[in-house]
Amino acid sequence: MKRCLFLFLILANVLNAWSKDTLQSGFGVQRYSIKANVEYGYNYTYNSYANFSGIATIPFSPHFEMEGRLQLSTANFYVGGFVLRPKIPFKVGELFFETRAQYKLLARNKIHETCAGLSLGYRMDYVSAQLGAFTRVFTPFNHDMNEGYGFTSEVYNIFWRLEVFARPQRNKWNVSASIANNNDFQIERMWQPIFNVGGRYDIDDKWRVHADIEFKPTGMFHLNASFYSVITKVGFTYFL
Amino acid sequence: MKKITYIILTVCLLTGCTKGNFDWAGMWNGQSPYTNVRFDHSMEYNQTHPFKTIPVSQNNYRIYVCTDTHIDSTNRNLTKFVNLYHHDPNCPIAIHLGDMVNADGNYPKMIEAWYADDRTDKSKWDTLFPVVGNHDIYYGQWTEYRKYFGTATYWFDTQGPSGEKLDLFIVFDSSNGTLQTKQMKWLKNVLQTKSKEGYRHIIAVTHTNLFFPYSAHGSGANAGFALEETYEIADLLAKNKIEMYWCGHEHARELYKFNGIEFITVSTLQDPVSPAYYMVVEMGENISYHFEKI
Repeated sequence: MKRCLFLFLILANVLNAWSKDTLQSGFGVQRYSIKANVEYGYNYTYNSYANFSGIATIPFSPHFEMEGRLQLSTANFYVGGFVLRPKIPFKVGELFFETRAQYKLLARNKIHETCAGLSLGYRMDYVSAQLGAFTRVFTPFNHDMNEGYGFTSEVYNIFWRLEVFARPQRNKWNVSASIANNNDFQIERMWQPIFNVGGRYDIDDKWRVHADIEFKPTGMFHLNASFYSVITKVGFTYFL
Repeated sequence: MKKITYIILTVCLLTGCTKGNFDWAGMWNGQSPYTNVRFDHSMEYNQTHPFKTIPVSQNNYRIYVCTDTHIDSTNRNLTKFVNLYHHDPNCPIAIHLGDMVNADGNYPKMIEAWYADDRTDKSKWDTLFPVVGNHDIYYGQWTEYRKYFGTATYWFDTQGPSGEKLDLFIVFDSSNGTLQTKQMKWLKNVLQTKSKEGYRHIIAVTHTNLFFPYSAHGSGANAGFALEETYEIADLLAKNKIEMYWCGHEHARELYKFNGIEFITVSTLQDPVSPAYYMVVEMGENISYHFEKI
């Protein structure tokens, strides 16, 4: 495993040297940051609820970053996760490879949900696309080991995301629209899209504010589609 | 001209002008009323048509279960299924788990099979219980479903020879991938009340799968409930000691357990799928089941 990582970093450095002027393009450069969000949501199951979340980004190098994520909800569920993201900047855009793991404690339903996935993405100034696969395991709190079937899993799921931006990444402000089966704290099934429209504004070199609205229908593809949930999100990011 | 033709074809495809398996417009916004409205319609019907109690001549009896017949131009398998159940003297009940029809205009052909009977005794005509599936309400066909069956949210139970309560079957509408608010409340109430009434077995019956453990279909091929609702229903059923969850939708057989509940996804009985199966359930102190080729 260590050898693979080492080889990957060498490859990334070679590629970066070959295209080192890309570091000015807005990709491959990251700073330590802390992002905090407050969300208000409505869905048919929980009715009204609020979430509080934080994301810490740690860039170990221009080619490797890590994210830690935590979400607390008034609907009595709690999510923790991390992302490991090796990345290779190119002349146009950046290739990234994500390893994502997420644990969701559904205290309201007495269920643990664990997801882990791998995906490959490419991010450019105006478009970002990501495709991968993940596995999910549901385990009830009172899992009876003698029963043998206490948990269930969804072994092969597709993880996907497509996002378009109105401005280049380095711009002081940007707005974006995305369709994906996931967001920072939720990984839905392949055929369950989540639509998001969001924007951000960089107040200065240290502070960024952002707002999003997210809409999740149910029954699209192979069932009858109807509204299911809407979440509005506001927050800020502080760059160290 | 070429450009206009392409635009017209694309619009037709997306708005469902082409009648096929999938209701393209319904994919973006279902053309039948949402679940809460359908639930109101069901309750309106239930008020004038009380929930059924089926008397059985012995405590051990049999149920035939089929699903996803997707009746289109032919109805051979459903006709065979109906006749098999009618001719089995120890089978007082049958259940169709939804997707009875395929697309718009298929209800008459399906109803022809639903009431197919080569016997003169029509006593079993009203003990074939329907479940609404997504195809049954594509193209705004809820009005058709309603016309023939009246309700998509109801329960029925069986009564033993000495009048004792035997088994309870709770049927709900999952064809939008959500129970929405009213039906969820109803399900909670029914489960909380009925689970205390001393039934031998309680079984949840619907069309849509709760989990997708089988990789070949699962998570890839079909849509299910939103995850929030998956957790909620799974917990609700487990809390109220539901023994089994019967559904269709996937077209492939899936058997698994979660939190003490046995989940059975019955495979399709559609013409001309071969081999097509239905499920035979032996109800007794314990429940056993097997699958028969039609």
